Amino acid sequence: MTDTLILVGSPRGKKSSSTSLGNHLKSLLQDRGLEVEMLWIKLQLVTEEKTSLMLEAISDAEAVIMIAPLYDDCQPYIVTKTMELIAAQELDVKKRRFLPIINCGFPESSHITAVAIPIYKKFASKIGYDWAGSLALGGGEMLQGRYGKQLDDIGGLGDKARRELEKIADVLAGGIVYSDEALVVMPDIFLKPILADLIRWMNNRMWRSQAEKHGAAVDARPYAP
Amino acid sequence: MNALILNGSLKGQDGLQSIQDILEEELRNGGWLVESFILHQMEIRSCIGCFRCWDTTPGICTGVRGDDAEEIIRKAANADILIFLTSLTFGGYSSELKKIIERFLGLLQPAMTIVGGEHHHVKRYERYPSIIAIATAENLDEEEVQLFKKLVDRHSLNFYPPKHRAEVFQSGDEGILERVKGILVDMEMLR
Ligand SMILES: Cc1cc2nc3c(=O)[nH]c(=O)nc-3n(C[C@H](O)[C@H](O)[C@H](O)COP(=O)(O)O)c2cc1C
Repeated sequence: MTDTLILVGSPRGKKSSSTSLGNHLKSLLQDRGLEVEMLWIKLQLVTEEKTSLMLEAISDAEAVIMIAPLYDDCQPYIVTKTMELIAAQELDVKKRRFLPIINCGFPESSHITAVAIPIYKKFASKIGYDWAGSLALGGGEMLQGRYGKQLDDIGGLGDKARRELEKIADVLAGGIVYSDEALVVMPDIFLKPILADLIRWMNNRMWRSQAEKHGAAVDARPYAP
Repeated sequence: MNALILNGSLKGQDGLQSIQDILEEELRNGGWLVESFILHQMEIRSCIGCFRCWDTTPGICTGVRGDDAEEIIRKAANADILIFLTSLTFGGYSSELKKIIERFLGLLQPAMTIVGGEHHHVKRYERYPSIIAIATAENLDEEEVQLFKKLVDRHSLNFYPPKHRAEVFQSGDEGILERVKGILVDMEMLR
């Protein structure tokens, strides 16, 4: 039996903020003497054989940490698919621990706590998992996992996430329960009204110029009648 | 007026077919043009989070190409009403329905604005379809029912439907026909 299985549920796969969080948590857990396995759902769902291996790993794990982004206010398709498979196969995971770590694009973590966390909680209780707490991280793109960056590569921007992962690692190693936490990746100063408006303006401009670089208009309406 | 029905039943489970049939019949009788897709019978690949529909080919998903999704996305953009059918999945959408919803990302722009004190994306199109989301469950769990309604409310904040409505029915409930009609009338889709 594995102590902890980290399931990365980003549809981006290895280059994702979820991976960056997972890699960091994995090493923190290993430092505390835990045996950790990490799987990327996207890479497992490609064949039936790999899907079965993932389900076996889930049923062998003392604790499952689901690290995934928020997609359309809820779970990404690949995560929902995995939850359906776990339920359909009636995996016996009773009394094992389940803890989701979810990041989203918008700065507010309320997008995650509104529905996605309660869905994970409902899943956990229906399947028989013990809820070990949850972490909702607003502003997850700031972790730059999409560009292959690791948490230690991004300096102060990763401080809050690193701190919280330390707490989760302590909790998992100590066998106690983490609470339901929600925070914003960025330092608090970035959230003050004028600076927040400026950052949003710069972000919107960045998208415009990215599209222009590809010879396109960011506000194109290709399907307009 | 165009209605697009997206049936998110899982393979081997056809419990949503009767609701699809009722909706098609009622809407057609009410003068609507109706098109339905049973999603698991289509070739639809899942979003890979590449944002090409925002920064490379704005409005068009080119990260995952060559499947049936583009036709559905185009039809969704031009529908007057979009109807989601799903089995209630821990209070959320089924995987089959979720897979196509994710491919709709390009219907919005990447730019963000503040709505109700929170960040949301800016509209790409002037108008969006209204949404009716209908879920079925073997056993009704009130927490899940409330979660589903909240999910559709939250999702609607990000999708700009002029009207939206979420309902959960118990599978096999004999009153479904009347309740479906009632929703369409309430939403002024039928007179
Ligand atoms: C299809 C799609 C839907 C998304 N929906 C939301 C959303 O509803 N709210 C939000 O805050 N971010 C949303 N995002 C943004 C992701 O949550 C964000 O990019 C996240 O940081 C990605 O994490 P990852 O790199 O671990 O995949 C969405 C992204 C995609 C591609």
